[in-house]
Amino acid sequence: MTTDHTLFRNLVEPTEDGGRERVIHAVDVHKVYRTGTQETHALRGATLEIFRGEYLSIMGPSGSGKSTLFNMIGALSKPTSGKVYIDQVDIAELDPNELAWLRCRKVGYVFQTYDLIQVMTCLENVTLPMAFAGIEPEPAREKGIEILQLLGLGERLLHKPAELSGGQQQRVAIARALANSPEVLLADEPTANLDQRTGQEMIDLFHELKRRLGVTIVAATHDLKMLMRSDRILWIEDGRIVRDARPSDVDFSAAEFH
Amino acid sequence: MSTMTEPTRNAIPAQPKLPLGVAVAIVRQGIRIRLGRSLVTLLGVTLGIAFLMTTLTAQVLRRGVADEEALREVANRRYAVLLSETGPLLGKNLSLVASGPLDDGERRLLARLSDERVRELRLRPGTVLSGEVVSPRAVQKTLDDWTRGSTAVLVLGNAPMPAATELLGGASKQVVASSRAASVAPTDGLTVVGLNRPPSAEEQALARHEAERERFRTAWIVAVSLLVTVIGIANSMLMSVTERFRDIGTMRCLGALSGFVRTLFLVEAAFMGVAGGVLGAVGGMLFALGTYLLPYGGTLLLAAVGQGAGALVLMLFGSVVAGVVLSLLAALYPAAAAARMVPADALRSTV
Repeated sequence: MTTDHTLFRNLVEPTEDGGRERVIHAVDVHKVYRTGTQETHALRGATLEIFRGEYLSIMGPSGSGKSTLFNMIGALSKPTSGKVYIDQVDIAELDPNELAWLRCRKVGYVFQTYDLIQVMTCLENVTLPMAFAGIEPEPAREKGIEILQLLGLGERLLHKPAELSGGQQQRVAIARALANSPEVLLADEPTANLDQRTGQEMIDLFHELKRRLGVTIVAATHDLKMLMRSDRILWIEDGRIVRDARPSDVDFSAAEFH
Repeated sequence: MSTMTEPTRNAIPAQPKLPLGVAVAIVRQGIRIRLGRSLVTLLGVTLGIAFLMTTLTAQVLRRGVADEEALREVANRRYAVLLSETGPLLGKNLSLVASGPLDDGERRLLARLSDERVRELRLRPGTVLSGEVVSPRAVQKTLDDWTRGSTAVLVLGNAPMPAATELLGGASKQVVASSRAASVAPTDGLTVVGLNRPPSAEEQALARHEAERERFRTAWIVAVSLLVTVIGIANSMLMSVTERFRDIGTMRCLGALSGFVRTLFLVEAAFMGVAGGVLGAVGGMLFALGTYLLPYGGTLLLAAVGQGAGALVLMLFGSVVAGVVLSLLAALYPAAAAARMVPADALRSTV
């Protein structure tokens, strides 16, 4: 894969999308993990912009720094150097308390393994981030029910995650991510653990959410169907963004997709 | 609008601190759902505290029954001294003259003798056995024959020592046992046994040595029980915390403050500490009471409990407090470790 330098310029100074508002802006982000004497460079100067209301897919092989990048734009960890702005706030400047505030309200995270809290009902899982945000139990409950109904889980409010199918669990995880009306919904391989049909439903759901709630969706994925329906695709390799393209400009018959 | 110069920092308010009630509700729910697991943790705390409480209660009870122990010791010694002169008393006759109040040691000796199935306890006229010592083998005799054919004559209480001829009762020799042996003039044929023989220097040294060893043993048992308690509780709490690292990470990703995570675990530890402490303290005390009930009987035990009531109540409270404090201490490290966890560590999935 070759690096397209014109596209890189686009990342820093958007021309075509100049009128749009940036929700996430990462500038020359480096992340180094130290284990003993070993240094691992997970990110080596990643730069990217994510605009409000877009549906972005991020592609990258295992070990490319994709997880680390996700952690950065989800305010889950700070960069070693470089800037990460979430809704125009530099997360490197925030103390743990403020980071918690940001994570709680600005970002909705859908983990690959869903990571629902097994001892809680679906509704309690969804109201938990609202509790963290300081919302009173009653309004939180009402909003939780509303979100779960929106995601077609109105009948499963009081079920435990273990009683649900994989697709339903993921919907609960999405509902939980949407609980505090975040700017960005981050989804880590949302279709990886789902069968074809459920995966397709999940893609439709993301589009529905984007349309109805105006939420920005960022998904790490290798799923061709998902890539093809996104607004934009970023490629990450060796800790850098190496390509940025619209699906219409991408040859999906290329070997990298199969 | 897209801005070319990013503001370095917007006004980001701090995440609100949640009221304790939220943590309590989450913990209560967690305990209810993971009931089996919670019970195992609870059992760890309960057993630790019960062990501690059993040891402590035993100390109090032992003090309470110490007088009784001493009495038994005296009675045993008197009995042994008597037997050393008479040989086994099974089926033999004994004579008794007594008046005035008997001391505890004398009463014990009589009770012991009737247990030994002496054939007859022949009473000198005027000797009336008071209510405490009712021997079914007691037989009232006349002045002429009350010592005849007896293996030994007991002179108890403040009864005056009968004349030598009366004691011999026609025989050529007789064993006379009295708590006031010194007042008997040595006469041919009379073997006088002093029931009040003070313990010899050797016996006293042995007793001191035994008491010393007992103190050491007690200190050792209390120390070990404390250690067992601490380790048991620490282990239970560590287990229950580590198995939930994943949930903690998830909560942190959802915006939970590290302080809240710490609170969660400390609240749970306090729950376990209170419940385990109460169960363990009460259970441990009952167990100790049970083990003392058998050899000492209810009346004596009640007296011992009454005597040490203050100490026991203090120990009950102390054990509950110990349960809570130890649980909290044991949870402190894992709770802090959980709170320190970087939220990103929850994302173990490899993308």
